[in-house]
Amino acid sequence: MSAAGPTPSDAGGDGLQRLYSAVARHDHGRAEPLPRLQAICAGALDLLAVSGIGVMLMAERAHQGTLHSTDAVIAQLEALQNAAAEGPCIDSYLLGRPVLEGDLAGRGQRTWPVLAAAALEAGMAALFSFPLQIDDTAFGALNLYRERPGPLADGEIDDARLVAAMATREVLALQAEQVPGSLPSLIADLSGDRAAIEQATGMVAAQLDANVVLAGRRLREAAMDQGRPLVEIAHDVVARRLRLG
Amino acid sequence: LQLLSSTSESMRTLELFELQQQEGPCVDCHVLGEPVVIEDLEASERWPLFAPRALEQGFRSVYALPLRLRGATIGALNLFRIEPGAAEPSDVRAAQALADMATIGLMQQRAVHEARELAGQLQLALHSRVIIEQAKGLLAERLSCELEEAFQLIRTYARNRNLRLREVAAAALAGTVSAAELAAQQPDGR
Repeated sequence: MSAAGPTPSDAGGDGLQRLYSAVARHDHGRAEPLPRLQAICAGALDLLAVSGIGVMLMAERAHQGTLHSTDAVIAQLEALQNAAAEGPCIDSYLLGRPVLEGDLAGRGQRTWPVLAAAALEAGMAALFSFPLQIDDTAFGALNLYRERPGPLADGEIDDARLVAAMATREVLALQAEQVPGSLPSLIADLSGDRAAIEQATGMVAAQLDANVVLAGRRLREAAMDQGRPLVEIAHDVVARRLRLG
Repeated sequence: LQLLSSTSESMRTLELFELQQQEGPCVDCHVLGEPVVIEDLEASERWPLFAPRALEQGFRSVYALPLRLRGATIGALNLFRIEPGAAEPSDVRAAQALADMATIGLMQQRAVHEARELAGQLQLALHSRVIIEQAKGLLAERLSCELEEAFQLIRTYARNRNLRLREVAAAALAGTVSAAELAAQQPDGR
């Protein structure tokens, strides 16, 4: 949340300049992608009236790792949306446009009943997702949340788009250091949990003799039935302590 | 040097640029990183190949201005005049501003192209990881083996048939390559 009480931007150029200055206050002269990403989020937090920001990678209708989160609340979003298999960031990634929900308890409950309930419980009353993409090639989403409900102002939406564009550039800078076809180790290491969920999905597909879509659903159902995190269920399946066939 | 844009579509004008693969104001400007000005091509012996052809086209004087980026010269902007003599300094300044804008345009084009490529690579790599991990799980379960062994089977199959890991993983998930087939190809048996 901003201490300086910024005014909403009225022009794109203005917004960019204010964002650059805000980021510059946090980057400590670091030019590497990850510190830059952290500075961009910190600068955006100064500028926008939101509670927290996360930069998430996505593929196959699911989160693939959180590159950076500004607090412990938004850090939970990946697990919550993957367990629910729904949410604004998944929609934003799939649709390739911002998905803005200022009232998770109201309209949000009707759009994503499972995710909205979980997010509210975690302390998120409003969620705003902006795709990380170049043209129609999307690979993630920038997510902002508010503790209290309320829409983003028009100027804030413009600013958040710029933040997403800047974040996109830094994520691609990470990829630029790689041999094509391989994931940056930073990204590959992000989510051992994610690998376990995919492995468990494959194992359950074999147990059910079904496709991976049905297997994924079965895993999530098991997590919900047992009231445990999806990741824990996945680790149990991979360790062969649990069969879902 | 490569011609990226020209205001004239005439093949003969384009030829003037082509010719500059060997010699001419563009080449000199690119190499020197400085503006190259020839006020009268008729009086110049600097480019024995280029000058007669330019004169044939009705050009008398030529300017080449560097496209500069952080101290490096990435190209040159060629301006041809049908009159001999020096251009007005204000015209030269305007032309250099034009060259600077052309540089920005070029860099943006390159950046956009590069960003598209990188986005595609990242998207594909993320996607590949998902299906490879899923295929590992599927095979480990079908063959009652460890995940690492399942991965080795995918890798061996991919190597032997010159396929990508993600292609074999996708085939295993789709059932077009069976677990038995993957297990059977192991030379040392299992």
